[in-house]
Amino acid sequence: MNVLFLSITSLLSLIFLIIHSYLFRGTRLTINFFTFAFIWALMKETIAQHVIDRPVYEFIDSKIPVFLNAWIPTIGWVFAFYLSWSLAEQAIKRTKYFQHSLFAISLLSAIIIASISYCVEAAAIGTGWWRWTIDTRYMSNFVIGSPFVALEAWAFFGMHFLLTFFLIECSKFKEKDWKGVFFVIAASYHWALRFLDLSSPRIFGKILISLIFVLALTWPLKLECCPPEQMPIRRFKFNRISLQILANIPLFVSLFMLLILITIDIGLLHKPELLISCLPIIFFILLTIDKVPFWLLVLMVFGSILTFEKKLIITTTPIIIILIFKISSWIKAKRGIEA
Amino acid sequence: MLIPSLFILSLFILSLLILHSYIHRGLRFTINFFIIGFLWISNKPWDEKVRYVSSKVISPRSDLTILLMTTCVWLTIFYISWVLAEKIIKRIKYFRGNLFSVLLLSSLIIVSISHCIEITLMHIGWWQGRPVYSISGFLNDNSRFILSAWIIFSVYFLLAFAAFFLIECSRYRRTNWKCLLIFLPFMREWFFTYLGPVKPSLFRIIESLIFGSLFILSLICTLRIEYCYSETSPDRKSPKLISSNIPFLSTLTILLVIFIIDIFVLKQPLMLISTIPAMFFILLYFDKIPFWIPLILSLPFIILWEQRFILNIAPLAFILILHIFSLMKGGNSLAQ
Repeated sequence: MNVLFLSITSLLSLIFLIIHSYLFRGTRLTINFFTFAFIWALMKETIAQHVIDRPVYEFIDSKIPVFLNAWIPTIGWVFAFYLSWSLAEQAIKRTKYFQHSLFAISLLSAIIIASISYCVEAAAIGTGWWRWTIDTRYMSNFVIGSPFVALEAWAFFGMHFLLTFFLIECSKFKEKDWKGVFFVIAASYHWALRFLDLSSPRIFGKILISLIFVLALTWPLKLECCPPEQMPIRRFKFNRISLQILANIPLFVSLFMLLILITIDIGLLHKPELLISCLPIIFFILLTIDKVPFWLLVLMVFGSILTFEKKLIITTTPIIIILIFKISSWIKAKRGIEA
Repeated sequence: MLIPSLFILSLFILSLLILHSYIHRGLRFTINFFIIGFLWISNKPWDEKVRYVSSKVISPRSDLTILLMTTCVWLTIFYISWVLAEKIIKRIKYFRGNLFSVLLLSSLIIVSISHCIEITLMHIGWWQGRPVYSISGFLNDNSRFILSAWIIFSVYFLLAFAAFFLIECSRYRRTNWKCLLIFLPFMREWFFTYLGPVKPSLFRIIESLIFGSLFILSLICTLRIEYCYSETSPDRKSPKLISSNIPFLSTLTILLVIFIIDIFVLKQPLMLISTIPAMFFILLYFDKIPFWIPLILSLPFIILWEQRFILNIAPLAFILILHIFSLMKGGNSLAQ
């Protein structure tokens, strides 16, 4: 197994996600999302790999052609962006008030991207696909197999892109003449990467994520995607089971990804402790399944914290975030505030 | 002291141009053109590591300051060139509002205006290198380098703004797939970035192919410019005389500053030769000046400097071709 294997599986999964996007979100949104995600991620990777003097990470596999150094992570980014959006949309449905909230979905997507990064980085670093060249001791007590800075970097990068895209393409600002101003949010990440020191995108990211959290709780801006009656899926005559399968493509893709990573952690690396890195995304997958009761997940979180202590604090983030949104939703319902 | 003053002047001109764009092209166009333009140009040096032609900035200022300065100058020139090209193409009835003709002419105007700016900036120490001017060969190696650099930058503009105008200001605005056109400028960037060290001849071939295909498109394709005005845009029916001439006045100001620097600061009046192509466009801007006047005026320069001047009058040649083509197509009839 090498990086090329990872990229081929990501590419295959990405094709399924594109199909899902087309069927449930329409042509315009699909083209816009994947075009912008691809260009923006490739720009970032080009700067990171070819422009700045010292790349923050590097591929160890010398067989990879130089030009693929930026293209392989780009495929991964596009895959992670769409998967996180779809999972976040499903998971947030557990909170009535926030189920269409643009900021809540953006925040949750960023956390899902961080969760994906946790298990991917742990497996990739373990197998020696790539290595980080910067100091990774920051908060290393809280993670296993992956540097905490990687989780942050993935979350902040995803946040910049998704927030910009949602505001321009999936909000009430879509019809505004000045919506192009939002491109500055996405560009600020690249500027910080190029002109300030490597820690600056992290500082910007922390500020942005805190701001989004506050906005999610206070501003009920709606995420407006393709209305159900305009979904291209309506043009095809699928039976109920096929429809269910197609609607759950993101879930199947995330399970497939998880299966590969678990195989690597146990079968290839013989390090079952790395499975801890898969817990956050497992929690998110469980959150997307309606039939799994929320109290059971809360119970599982507390149980695992008691067992593994601080190594597991990070893994509880998905449940804690949903819990905060649930409490906030409950308070708003008590006060009679409707979404 | 001179460089910050020039930067402030450029910023001032840019603000006036933004105002012009807002009044005449609406809020949506203005925001998208200047913001996307700024983001695109400010990302240009991402190919620093694989740069094939560029002048080195010799300034103690930080990368970010240089970026802001150059981006403002680029945006100013790009917008001025677009407006001048649109105005000049308007004089040829068959091609009036033709997107590709305006695009190609504006890219040629960019080369002309930038040529004189670049040479003056090089002399005052903004860029590395000092071209030496003489009557016998004013296009020496350095200025030839500048010219070729600006042709490349012009293509840089050409592809990015081709995508922009196709997406924003053409009938494709209403299509679902319009965003795929964004790949147009990026394809060239990626090609050069990932191909590694490439022979300069290959760059010339690619640039020539881009110019050539655009030239053919401008003659055969009748795609028209359609600005997207909205209710929030100001009333365009009553544009004031001064506001409508802001790009022209800006070009005059730029040329005037170059005059002052060349004559009074650098004391090299010969450098004014580089402003001649831009001057032709100033003449063409006025509807009442017949097209043959700048054409005749350019003849002595061609005789004096032979092929070295030919590239500088390329825009005039292009306009001449459009005129002939227009006459062949039936003179006054508009392209449908």
